[in-house]
Amino acid sequence: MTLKFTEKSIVTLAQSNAPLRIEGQIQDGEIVGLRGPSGCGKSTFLRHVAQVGEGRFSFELGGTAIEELAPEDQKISLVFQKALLLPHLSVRENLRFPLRFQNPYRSWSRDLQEKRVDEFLDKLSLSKLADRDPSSLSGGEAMRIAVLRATLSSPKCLLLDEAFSSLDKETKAQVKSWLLALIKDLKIPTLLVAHVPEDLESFADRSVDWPKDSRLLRF
Amino acid sequence: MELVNPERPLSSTEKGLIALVCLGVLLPFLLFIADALFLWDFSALSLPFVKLLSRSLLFGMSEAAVSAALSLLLAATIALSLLSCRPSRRKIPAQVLQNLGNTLFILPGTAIALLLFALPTSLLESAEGWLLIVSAHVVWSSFFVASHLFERLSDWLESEGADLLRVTRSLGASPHASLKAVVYPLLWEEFRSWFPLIFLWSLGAFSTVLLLGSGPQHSTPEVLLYYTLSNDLDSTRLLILFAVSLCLQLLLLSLFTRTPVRSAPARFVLNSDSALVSKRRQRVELPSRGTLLTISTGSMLLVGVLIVIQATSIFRSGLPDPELWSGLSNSVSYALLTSLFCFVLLLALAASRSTLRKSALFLLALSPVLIATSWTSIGLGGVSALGKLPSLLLCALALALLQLPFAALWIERSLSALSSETLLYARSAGLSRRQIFWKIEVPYLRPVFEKLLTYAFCIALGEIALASIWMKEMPLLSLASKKLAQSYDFHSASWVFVLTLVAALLARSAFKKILEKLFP
Repeated sequence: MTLKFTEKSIVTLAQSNAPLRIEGQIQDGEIVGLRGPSGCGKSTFLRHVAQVGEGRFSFELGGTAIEELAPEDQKISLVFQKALLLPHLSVRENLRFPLRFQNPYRSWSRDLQEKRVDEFLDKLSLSKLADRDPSSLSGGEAMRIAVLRATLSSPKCLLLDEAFSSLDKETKAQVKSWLLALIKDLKIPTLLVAHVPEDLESFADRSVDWPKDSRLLRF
Repeated sequence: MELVNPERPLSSTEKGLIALVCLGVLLPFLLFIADALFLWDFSALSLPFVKLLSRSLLFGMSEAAVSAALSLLLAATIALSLLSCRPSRRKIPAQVLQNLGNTLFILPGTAIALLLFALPTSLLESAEGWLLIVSAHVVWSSFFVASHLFERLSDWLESEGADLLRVTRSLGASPHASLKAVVYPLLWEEFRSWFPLIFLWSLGAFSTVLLLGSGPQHSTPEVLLYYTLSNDLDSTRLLILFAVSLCLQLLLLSLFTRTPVRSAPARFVLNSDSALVSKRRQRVELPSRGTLLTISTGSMLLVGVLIVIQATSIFRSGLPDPELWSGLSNSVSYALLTSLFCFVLLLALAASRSTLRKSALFLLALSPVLIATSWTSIGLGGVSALGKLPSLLLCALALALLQLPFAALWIERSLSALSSETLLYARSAGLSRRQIFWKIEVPYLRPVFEKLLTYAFCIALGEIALASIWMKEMPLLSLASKKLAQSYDFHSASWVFVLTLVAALLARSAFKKILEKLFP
């Protein structure tokens, strides 16, 4: 499902206080990296794409304008630098969380939703973590669960906000290769924001630099 | 030097010191128990006394439970309303709500009680005593807790809370579902730890029950103790009441201490990128903000109207009786002395939190509250008789000691929000343990100290029980208000209300300035 920025894709970021126009598109299963220095507005831009920023941001998802899609059909998943698992829910319940709200899974019974969660956990050899408390997970395990949670409901678009920056070198390599296979398998258009070039290496299909004048961002 | 480790085992010296403090606090009562057992008299346990005791227990428990539940619900509504407004473009409602909330939080108990007396006489006469008592407790404790909840939620939203809300929203949850998944569990945790404390406070509150209660059917075990202490002084009855009171307190305190406290989010973020983000206050998208705003504004407007009624009465009545002025100066001295003791105890509490285990801190802080307010009187009697110390000094010290459980909770929550990375960073920058305490931890606790000192000041302004037993000769505003309320002297009561409120407001701003100077 292609993510396409149109002539309406304009956002005013607090960092520059000037309108930023976005052009271009991200194809199915394509991973685009966005590089830029800290504090330039990359994360704020990503939040606008995820529709959780202040104000509306317009673009097309699979040929349909985002504002025409109901919230349960938008399915844009955002992963932060921190895993941000809900601390009072078990790993299984954290993974089931998006299925409770997104189509078509929201109409499924609890058993069916849990079955999907367990299948995914099993497929990725993470079943042993299912009943664990998020606070008992290591950084790498928590990040894997956060990414899995973001992809479990078959998102139409995946946004990664410095998702690898808190991981050590070895865990980072593991999570990257595991996520890469998942994105290619599910054909999810993915946008990754990073201020460290190494995070984009051997992961992004192409990379784009944040514009110096913050006027036009072309993908 | 060892870095802060709240879970390290206690050394034998520390254990000995804690035991000594607890024993020192409890000693007068242990002596009293021995004396009462020696003079035990079965005839004191007559049927009317047992009936009165069971009635007071039933009323006290139900009144405290209703007060605690309603207070927390109202507090959560107000805190969420404040959060939903901030930092909205329409800043006026948020600021008005916050300022109103903060002003009401410092209302002394007596002022609240008198405020309710501003209700039209017909309404007051038709209202049940318990309704007035519950209303007074709800108004006071809800604003106290609302202020805390608001700050806790704000702190949390400045760190990971806003991102958690964003994640849940991006996972498809509606604003309400997102709130339910993220904010409600946090609120529930707060409720579980605050409920026993508010319950305890309502159960032990004197002034409101004495001022607003209507006879023995609306009395609590504490008030019954007060009557027994001030009237017949029967040691057997006192011992029974003490045992009942102690069991209740222990039960509630075990509930309170067993509540797991999840560590609060880090307030100081060392990562520069995250720190930039965290400095910007986040806005929470709440469902039906109008409903939340209506409930909280309505409840505060109700109190606002009552304040206006009181104020207009002042204009009609002219200047207050000169006796009230001397009462004011005595009450302010009493309250300032209490705040001073409280300040020393707060520093000691913060220092022990830094060096002792969390459980040891609570043991120390909770030992005075095991003795209910009226029992402090017995203890004071013993100490006073032994040392011939001025009663004002002893009462102020007793009141300051009684603030410790609340203070322990606030200090624990606040210091646990200080990330261990911050302390490690400070150590690596060459700060000694003592410097970390005075230069980082205490300045960090400044807002907590400010609130707790104001709270102690207000408690002392409205305190009746200790004052009426040990400072009978000294004119105090709280004692005057008790007489005025009983005689329905509405004009003088209005003056008492305004004087206590102004004194509390001035004290709060003075404490703020002093603390800013002491701990920049």
